[in-house]
Amino acid sequence: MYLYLPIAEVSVNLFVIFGMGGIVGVLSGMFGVGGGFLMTPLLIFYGIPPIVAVATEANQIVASSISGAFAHWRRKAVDFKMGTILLIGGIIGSFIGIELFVFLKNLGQIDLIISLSYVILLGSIGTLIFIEGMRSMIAHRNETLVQVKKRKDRTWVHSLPMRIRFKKSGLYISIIPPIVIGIAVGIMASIMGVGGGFIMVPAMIYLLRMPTNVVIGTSLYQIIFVTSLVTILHAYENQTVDVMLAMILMSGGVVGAQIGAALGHKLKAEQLRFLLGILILAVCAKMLIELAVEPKDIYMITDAIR
Amino acid sequence: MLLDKLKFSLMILLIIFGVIPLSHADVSENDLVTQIDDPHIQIGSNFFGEELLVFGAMSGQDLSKSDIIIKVEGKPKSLSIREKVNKYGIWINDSEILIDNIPSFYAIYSNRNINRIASEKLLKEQRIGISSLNFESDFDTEKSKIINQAIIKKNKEKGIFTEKFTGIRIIGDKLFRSSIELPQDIKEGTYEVSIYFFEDQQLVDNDVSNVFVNKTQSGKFIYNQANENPLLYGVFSVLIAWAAGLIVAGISRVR
Repeated sequence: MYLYLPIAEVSVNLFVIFGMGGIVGVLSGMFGVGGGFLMTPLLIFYGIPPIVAVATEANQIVASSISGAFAHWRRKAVDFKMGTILLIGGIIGSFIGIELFVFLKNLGQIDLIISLSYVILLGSIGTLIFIEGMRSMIAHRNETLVQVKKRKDRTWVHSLPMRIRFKKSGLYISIIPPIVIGIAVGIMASIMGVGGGFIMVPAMIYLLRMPTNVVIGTSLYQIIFVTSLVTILHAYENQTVDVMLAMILMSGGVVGAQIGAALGHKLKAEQLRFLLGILILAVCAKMLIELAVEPKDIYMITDAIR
Repeated sequence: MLLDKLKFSLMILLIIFGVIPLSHADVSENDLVTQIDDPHIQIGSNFFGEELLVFGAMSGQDLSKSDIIIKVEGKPKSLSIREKVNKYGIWINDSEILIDNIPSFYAIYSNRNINRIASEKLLKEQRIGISSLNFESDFDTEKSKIINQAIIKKNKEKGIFTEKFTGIRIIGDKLFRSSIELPQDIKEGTYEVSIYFFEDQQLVDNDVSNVFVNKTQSGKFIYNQANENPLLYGVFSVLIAWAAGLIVAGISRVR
């Protein structure tokens, strides 16, 4: 069944889009990742204009992060104070990101920047997950324990000024690092249509030394509001949020996440991570190939904006 | 398709018996009379391209000795062209070139090759044929030729520019009919349909009418809201996502 998307201005197969939402939903259910960093490239591969894919995916992430954040909130696993500081950074970053987006769009380079950002991001994340997965699989086979690095209690992060107390996380640290992390996440959300959890979560654990049990809930809390803002800013500045596309993705994602959560319990964690790494690297490779291979149309023709 | 044929046969009967008034009020001798099946085209959310049925007759004339050309043209617009150049191993867009006066849609349907129907000069005068189009740009001719070819090629692929020299059927020797394909990408607006009647390389008569393409249903509503009330539209999109997220959160809580 085909459907004409009013903003993307292309006809799409409803089941393909629903299925893409579903598959990415399964992955997020299995791995606890948001999935934006897979969804946006898939939409672009399917023929959705990159600027529409980014803005619409931000809209979808709002829905998935709300349901996720609620689950963590019920388990009291959200540090609202830390989340709010990260959010302040996120708001600043979103505005910077949108300005950058509009600037690059007017230069005619936004599609290139979106693709390049994904190649870099997926390349590094994929490699990390892949290595990590390999290492733990080998370790598992040899039945030796992986040496856990003893973490230092204090790093340079803890000697910065403007310190405040975060009761929930049991920290007394400067607000500068979380604000900077928030800004980075906000910029990424605006330009790439991702929640940014995959950057925020490791940063919270390794840089801020937050306890792991509150990390995901806190990042989801921040993502809800940052992606909401990013959606509104894209709609306002670029008119690129396709609400019809977003709704199909949301419904696919809901179904997928339920299946994924059930599947996740049955499969071995290391194997899963290994698979996820391969998948991310494959998407990255496809993106890179599209940049490097001589394009079929040497001229990019669009309506002139006057 | 079957429905089209039925509709067409019915129309012919009605025209022959004079039930349908044709576009020319004074049907004098040697006059071109034409009819467009449905001058209002609606693009719904499942729009997949539509056919525009054009037919007519030349009264008191044996059509087997004449030629007919139908031209459908959309409003002119400006395009932004960027050449892709290879830098550091990847393909990136070069600086922008603007080209004006490109029809947003251009279709030529005829009963045979238009170059046999009339002289190049006459065709150019009447803007008939893709090669008669004049795109305006302000740079050297060598480059503009290449770029014009690229524009034509791309528009042909998308079905926005078409030339069909077998696109008109002459039925008996009284009537002609043509079904013009409107592609999925067609934009909302007014389209001009011109019908030219040639005899011995000369333009004998022509007839111009308009067709309106409207975007309807949710598609149009969403598009208009996104462009006219962008802030409200953005807030609304976010509210939908919040509602969806909260519903899912509610469902998983019940479990």
